[in-house]
Amino acid sequence: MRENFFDKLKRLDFLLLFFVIVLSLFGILMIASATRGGVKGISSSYFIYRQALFLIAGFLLFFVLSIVNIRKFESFSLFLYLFSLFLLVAVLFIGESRLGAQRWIDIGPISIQPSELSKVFVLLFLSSYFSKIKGRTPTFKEIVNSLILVLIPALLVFMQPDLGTAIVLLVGWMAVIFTSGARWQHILVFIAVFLIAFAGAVKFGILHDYQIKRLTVFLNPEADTTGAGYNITQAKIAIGSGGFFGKGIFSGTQSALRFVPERQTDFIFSVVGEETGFIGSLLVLLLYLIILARIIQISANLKERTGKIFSFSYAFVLLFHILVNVGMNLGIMPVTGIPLPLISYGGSFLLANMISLGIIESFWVHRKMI
Amino acid sequence: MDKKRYDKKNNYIKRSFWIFLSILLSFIFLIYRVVVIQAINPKYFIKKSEIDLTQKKPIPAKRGDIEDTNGNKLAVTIPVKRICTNPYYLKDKERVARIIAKYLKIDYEKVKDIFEKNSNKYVVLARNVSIDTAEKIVREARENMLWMEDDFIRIYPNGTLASHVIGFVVPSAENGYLELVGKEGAEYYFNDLLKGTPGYIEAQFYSNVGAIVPETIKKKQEAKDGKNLVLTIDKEIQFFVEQALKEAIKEQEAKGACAMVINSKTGEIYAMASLPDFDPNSHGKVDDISYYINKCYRAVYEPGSTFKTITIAAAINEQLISPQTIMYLPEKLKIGRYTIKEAHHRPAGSYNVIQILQESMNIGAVKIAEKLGPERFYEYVTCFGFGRKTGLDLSGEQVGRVLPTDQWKKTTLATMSFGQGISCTPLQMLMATNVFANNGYYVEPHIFKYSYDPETGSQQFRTESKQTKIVSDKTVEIMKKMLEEVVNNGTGQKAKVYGYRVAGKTGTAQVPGKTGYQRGKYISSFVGFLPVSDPRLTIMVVVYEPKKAHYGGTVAAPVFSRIAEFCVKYLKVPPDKSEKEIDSEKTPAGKDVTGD
Repeated sequence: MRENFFDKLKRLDFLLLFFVIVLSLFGILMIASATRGGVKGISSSYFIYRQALFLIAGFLLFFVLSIVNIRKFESFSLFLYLFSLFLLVAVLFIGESRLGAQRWIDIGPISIQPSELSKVFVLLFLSSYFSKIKGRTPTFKEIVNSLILVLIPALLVFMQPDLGTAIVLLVGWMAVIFTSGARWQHILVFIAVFLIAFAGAVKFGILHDYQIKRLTVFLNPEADTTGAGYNITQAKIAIGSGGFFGKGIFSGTQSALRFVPERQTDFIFSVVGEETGFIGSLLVLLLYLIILARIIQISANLKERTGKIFSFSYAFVLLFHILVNVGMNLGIMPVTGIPLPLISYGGSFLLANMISLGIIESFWVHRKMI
Repeated sequence: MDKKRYDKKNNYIKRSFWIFLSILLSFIFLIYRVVVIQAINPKYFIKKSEIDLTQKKPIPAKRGDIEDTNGNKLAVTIPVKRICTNPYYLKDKERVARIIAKYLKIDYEKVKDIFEKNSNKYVVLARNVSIDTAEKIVREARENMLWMEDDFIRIYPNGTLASHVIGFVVPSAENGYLELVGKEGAEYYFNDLLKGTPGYIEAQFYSNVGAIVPETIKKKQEAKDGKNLVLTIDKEIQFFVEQALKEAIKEQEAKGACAMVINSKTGEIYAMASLPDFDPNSHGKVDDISYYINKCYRAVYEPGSTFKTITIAAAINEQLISPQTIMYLPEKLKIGRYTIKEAHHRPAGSYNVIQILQESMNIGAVKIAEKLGPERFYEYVTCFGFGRKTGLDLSGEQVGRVLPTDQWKKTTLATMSFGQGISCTPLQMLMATNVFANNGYYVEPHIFKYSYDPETGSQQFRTESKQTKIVSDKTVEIMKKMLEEVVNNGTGQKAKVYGYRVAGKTGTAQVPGKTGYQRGKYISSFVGFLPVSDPRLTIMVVVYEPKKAHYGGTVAAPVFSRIAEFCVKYLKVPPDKSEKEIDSEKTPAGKDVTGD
């Protein structure tokens, strides 16, 4: 029996949709506040329009994906995986450099960041890969195979260089093997391997000095108040100065006076904290908590393995973004350039999130009814 | 385990429980931090943010100019611009780099390098850019985040002229802001007067840009410019003196030279030259750091025969001798193991004091000093300013070495009487001789004439220092006559100035080394004043290690004559001889006199 368009729309999870809309609109408001007066000579309206444009495109994709039965197109995930590999290779050759990293591909008037899109596609492909093992506990060999599948894009991203996103991909992989039922021993072995590999990368100079510095500076930001330490010190001061009720939206001074760098992207939470105060920060965190809880609830109720693994893992990846980004703003996490989902300025990541949410909704809309 | 089906509902629920737990723990962690920072004690951060917001930045004061006695500029401050930016905010770095490279004639790659090394930082791209060029750059770049800041540069329009007296400045950030600080000469000594008081501005600044946020200026105090300093130095005289010294050095292949011209009555220094010198505009570029030393008052030497004047004046003032007192002088005089000889052979015999001074007889000076005895001799030496500072208003003055009598050896009195075993600066020697030109009064030398506020024009003069009487009027008259005899008929004949009566004394000192005096190394000097009837100028010339000749009368006296002649003409000093007397004495310089 074919359901019509409206029947499907009715089965959408509106709670999730509602809070996503609230957060992303709030994000545009914060971007407007953060960029007022312009950044690098680019006017505020440029940022607002672009973010709004991507948000509209994101919602369109969200609805399209929700009503398309993803399960029928599951083999498509291999194509998406290969496509993101292609984009990641392409960006190394034709990409545009900004802030010392080659991350963007210009397509007409817009530019996209393949690494952000790869976060969804790699996760989807891995979920599909593990759903094929028909509910067994994955073997060590399968885990290693999947690791190779994720290491290819992760290394390409690392070469841009974008350490943060490379780490996100590995965290996503970890979440997938965890939800697929990988044995604890295996998981612990890989965590150990990663730690050793990271230590090796530091020791043999594979990581740039600035990367190491940014990763460790949060431990003692006062020691470096002009470089990376400056960023987190200023972000902390901005948030703290917001106090209980905040200085009011568009009334923040710290971030407006450019004390906080990258305030429309990585450090947007400092604008939230400064302008909306403790109440606002708490509200934003609670909204995230509701969204995550809702995704977990959805995935727990899904019968279909790919959807289950994907939404669990996505929830975990989302959590990782929030934890690292907000933690960085609060001075308790390293500076990694991981944006705040739905709020930070950045079209590609916004699109990636809307696609992911659309996929989850699709699994939900097309779930097997008991 | 592998065979076991994993996707039984409870297994998934177990795993989802772990994920949910990690979410909860993470949020508790974040919320805890938010509570700590924003709810419990935000005051700390609020206070910190306000401190960061409003900053007090200094507005540099313009350093006062230095002028010569006639208002000619010796050192000026020119307002210039610094070109500043934060490369992060530049729209087109390549274009800005090209513009800057073009106007400032620096390497394009170098500018690019600065951009790359300071990706998000306030950076000064160029200093000391003329206002005109800076405005052109900023206009052509059309970048919001490329701007100019005020700065000053110190220019010495006359180059090396009077470089030792003027000194130079170096930029310093000691007081928390960049300023020019005097390091040598008048720039150093009068730094407090010249520097002015910086103003300040209290406003909010873009943190990594450095520019003022519009309409946030809370307080602004304009800088108070430094006072202009007028020196007693006369640019024309100074220039002539330096040229004369340069020629003398060239002619004599000398190592260096110094000379001073002062107003005999007031101690005002009209010229003070020391060679080799340096260009204060590029003071870092000297071959040897000794070039910074002003030999006039920062280098000591053994004065030699010029010092006999002091010995004789002391004895005359004590009425122990008169010019006509006749003394028997042996050919050689043995004191202990030390034999005192004359510079030129002279038969043993009786000579009067006039002759002793005129022909600069060492043994004569010894005999006279012996009449005085150590205590009285020492007293006069100190009264004439030896062994202490002259009071010159420049720093780093050396005092020389005058041993107190209880440290004297058997020979000290004897050698000191003709200027050995004592050291002083040329300035001390000049000021001591000036006592005879200034009616027996010791006067302090100085270069400060007055200072004035460039805005209001209000002037501040030097408080006249009191002059101390050293010797009686009678002694002065005798000494003047005897010193005139030195120039007219003695060793200093080459110091004559046509139409003027000149008094003075030659000196040829040997340079002490590790073991006795160094062979062939001499310091030739001449110190004198004119016109004798009413002395106006006292002049000293010292030539270091001349190679062609070495007697003060041959080397230094002609230089003195040239300088003195220029000065009396330039300053329109009336001659003290009648026309008739001049006509009867048509031969200017006498025969080549070599006795010293």
